[in-house]
Amino acid sequence: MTEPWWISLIKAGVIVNLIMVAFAYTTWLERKLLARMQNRYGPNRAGPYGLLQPFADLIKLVRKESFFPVAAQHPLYIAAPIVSMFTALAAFAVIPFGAGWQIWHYHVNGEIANVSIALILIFALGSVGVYGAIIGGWASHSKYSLLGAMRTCAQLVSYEVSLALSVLGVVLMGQSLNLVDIVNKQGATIWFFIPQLAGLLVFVFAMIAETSRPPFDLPEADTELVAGYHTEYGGMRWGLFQTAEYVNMITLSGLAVTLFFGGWHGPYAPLGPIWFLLKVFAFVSVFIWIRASVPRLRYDQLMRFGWKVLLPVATINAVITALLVVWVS
Amino acid sequence: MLLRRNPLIVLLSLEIMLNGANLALIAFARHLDNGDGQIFALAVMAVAASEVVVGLGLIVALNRKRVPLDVDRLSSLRG
Amino acid sequence: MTVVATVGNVLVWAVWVLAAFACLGSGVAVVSFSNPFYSALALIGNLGSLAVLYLLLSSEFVAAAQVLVYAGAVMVMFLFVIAYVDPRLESPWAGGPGWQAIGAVLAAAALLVEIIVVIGLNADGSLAHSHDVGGTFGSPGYIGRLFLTDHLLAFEITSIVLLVAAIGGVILGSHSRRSEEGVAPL
Repeated sequence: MTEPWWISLIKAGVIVNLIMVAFAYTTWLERKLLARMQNRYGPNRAGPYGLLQPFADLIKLVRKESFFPVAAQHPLYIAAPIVSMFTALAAFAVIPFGAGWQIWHYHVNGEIANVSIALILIFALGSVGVYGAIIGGWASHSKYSLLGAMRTCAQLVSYEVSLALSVLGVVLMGQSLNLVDIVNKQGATIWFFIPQLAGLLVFVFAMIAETSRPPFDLPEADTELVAGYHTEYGGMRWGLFQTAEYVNMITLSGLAVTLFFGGWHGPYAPLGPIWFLLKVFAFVSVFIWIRASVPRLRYDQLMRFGWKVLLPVATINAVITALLVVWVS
Repeated sequence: MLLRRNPLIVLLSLEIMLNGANLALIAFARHLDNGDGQIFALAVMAVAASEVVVGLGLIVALNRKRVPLDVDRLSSLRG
Repeated sequence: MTVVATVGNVLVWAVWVLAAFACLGSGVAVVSFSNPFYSALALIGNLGSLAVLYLLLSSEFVAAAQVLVYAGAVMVMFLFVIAYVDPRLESPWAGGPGWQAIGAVLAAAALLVEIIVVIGLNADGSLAHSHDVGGTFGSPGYIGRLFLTDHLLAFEITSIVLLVAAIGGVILGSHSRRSEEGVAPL
């Protein structure tokens, strides 16, 4: 099932661009859905149904002056958004979106890289992504930025533990850290969200916190902190932080689909990537729905929820799954 | 590690030393096709993480008491 | 086919040399920056290049664990504390009397010579050629099997060490807060 290296390269390019398009239309979808949920119209000027709005936003951001605070640390201030963006995009490399195809006597795999440590790789990249926030907050040399960076850092590290533990049950059932193996196992047996309902719930909560979306958007609580770690950023540098956040959301939705909802599996097999896309779309819509309906938590509530509710539930779930797996086999 | 006076830098240097040992363990594990080196590299990692937890906890506690962060002046055990 | 293999080998060597030099350079940078924040960032670079070296040594699980544990948890904590205590800048070579510097360099040199002599004496030529490793070497399954069979005791002791450290961290944090409340501020 190996493929020539240049096919991987082409695939990587295509996927990165597809993710950027998906990101652009996620912002559109978010604004449109939020508006409809609040009895508004949302963007409707640029193009039919406001469909050209993301491009208008992009042009506006790129054309803005790339503002630079006097007190900022020069190289770090510029590097921080790049780190965020890079880790967000790189994580998608190991998520499988199809079963693989035979195109003109070349075999094309349904993922960019098939590695045995795929799951750990995603978590590792996610944890490196924290640096974007903390370096950006520190290098801006501003109190609001630093406070936002501290909050981001504490929140992301706390919820990463729950995120990693919540998928342990899936790993035990799939008996692999390889995402392709896990999806194939689900195709052969049952989608894991049924036996791993507790794991899925913990995963979704931790996922919302990891992408710092409402109601866990303490790092960017605009009523308390102006805008969090990217207060001092403007133009496309701010745009990169924002993009990284949305791409993280799409990647983690893809991971959730892969781990709990059978990945590319669906009623009609050749439509694999379409099923995958639809499931991710459903997940993203749920994210937006939650944003529209739940108020923000207080900081101590957030920490207490992470350490005293999610972590024990995830641990107990993993232990019970391990016992059941041993008992069955 | 011996030269710097800031406990934060001392901890960072300690990490470098542990990682040097880790690299040697991994390299010989690969060279001799023996997994034991990798196991001990992982154990070293865990120990390093624990050591950092305690070290940083001490530094934060010192900072709360407004004690200057200088290893030469931290010569007494009484808080 | 051979051409492709050669290109691959050159690429591996290039990455190898690059990672090794990045590792050394960032290691020097850690001890010579005057700002601890930059030192910590250099250490992250060091750990990252070490992870690349581990990958080249076909220890992929250890490499991933390195990034996850060190870069993901330990160094984030470091940066958090450095940003929190905001330490003053310090010239790297200002601290400590001169004899300490000389002593440190001499001790390091002596240790290096000792290590080389000991390895050279004990290896008996078994290091002359490298062994071939199987495809599963360094995979999560391989590591897990070793941990739960040959090295169960080390595994358990490590977990106890981690638990003790976690409890210690919590106690250190809560203790200093209590004393701060009890004692009048200076």
